[in-house]
Amino acid sequence: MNLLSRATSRTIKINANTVLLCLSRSLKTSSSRQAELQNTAPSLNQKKEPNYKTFSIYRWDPDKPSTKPRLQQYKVDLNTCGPMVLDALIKIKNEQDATLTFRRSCREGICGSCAMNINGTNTLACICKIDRLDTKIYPLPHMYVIKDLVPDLTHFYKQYKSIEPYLKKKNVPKDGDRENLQSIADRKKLDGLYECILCACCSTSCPSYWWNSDEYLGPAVLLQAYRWMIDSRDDYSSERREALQNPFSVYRCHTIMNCANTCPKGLNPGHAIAMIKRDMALD
Amino acid sequence: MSQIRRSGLQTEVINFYRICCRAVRKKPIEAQNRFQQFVRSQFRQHTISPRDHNMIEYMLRKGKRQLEVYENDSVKDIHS
Repeated sequence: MNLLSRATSRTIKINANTVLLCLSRSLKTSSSRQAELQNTAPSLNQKKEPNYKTFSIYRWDPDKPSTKPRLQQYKVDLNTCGPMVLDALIKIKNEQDATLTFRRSCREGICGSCAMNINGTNTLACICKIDRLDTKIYPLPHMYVIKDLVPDLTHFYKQYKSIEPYLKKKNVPKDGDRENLQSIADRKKLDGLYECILCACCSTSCPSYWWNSDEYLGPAVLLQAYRWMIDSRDDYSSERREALQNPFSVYRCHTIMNCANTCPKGLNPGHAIAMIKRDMALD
Repeated sequence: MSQIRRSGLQTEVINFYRICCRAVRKKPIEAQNRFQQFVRSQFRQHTISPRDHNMIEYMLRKGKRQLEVYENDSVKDIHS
């Protein structure tokens, strides 16, 4: 500005256009200032050295079923990657190997799609932080693999369907009743049960489920079964218990408690199964 | 009369083929021929080594899943 005022005072010949140009140069938007900052200090970004970490990921392609499953190594720069394992997987899929297959959706631990075995623990990739050590990623154990990290959950969902996970009433609601009301105390009974997202982490970590998955329902499904048994609005809780009255459905649970250890949502299916057993004994 | 001795996996595959053929007969008569052709083509399209047990087991599982879908009454005809 100083220069501009001197220039205008010294010469009258100055042309209006140049004045405008000078003014426009001195008025800077915040974005252009940021760009300038980045231009003046490029060394600031380059100073951070790439921090590589190796991910070993289980690969198997159903189109070539005669090839054996293998572990494939991927090097990822952690400085340009998000904090969670799912971020790394997405980065690998975007930049290195587009054939890598896995399920993901919400990336915040609410959908349960990205359940996989990371460093020997079943968890959700989207809420599992990347640590410094090398990471091994497998699909959920003891499930049939469809491709790479995608397990076949058909049987799991069939079992879930078999417990009839919906509200069942004995009498038809009256005309005025649009809702099934519930007291606050009754609603509190559902806490610790309704949060389950059916990611199948607990069921696939249970040795009892590994060996008897055809008949034993598994912790995730039993947790849901209990959720409908203690719902005050449901009229069929004793019938629901009756349906489980056999040596396998519930009683294959030997309270190993892997389910409670692995649950990424911090629930306790083992406790719910114990409550089912107690209620069945009292029936 | 000596019978051919089959391994467990072999009998399983043969039984599965029979189940598929039986499922074909539940379809409308005019479409049955096409379904039969489809079943045959599905069994023949792969060249699998008889020693590759893992792959045979995998194909069996895949086939059973496929059968479950095609068995449905709403599937009335097939065109390949």
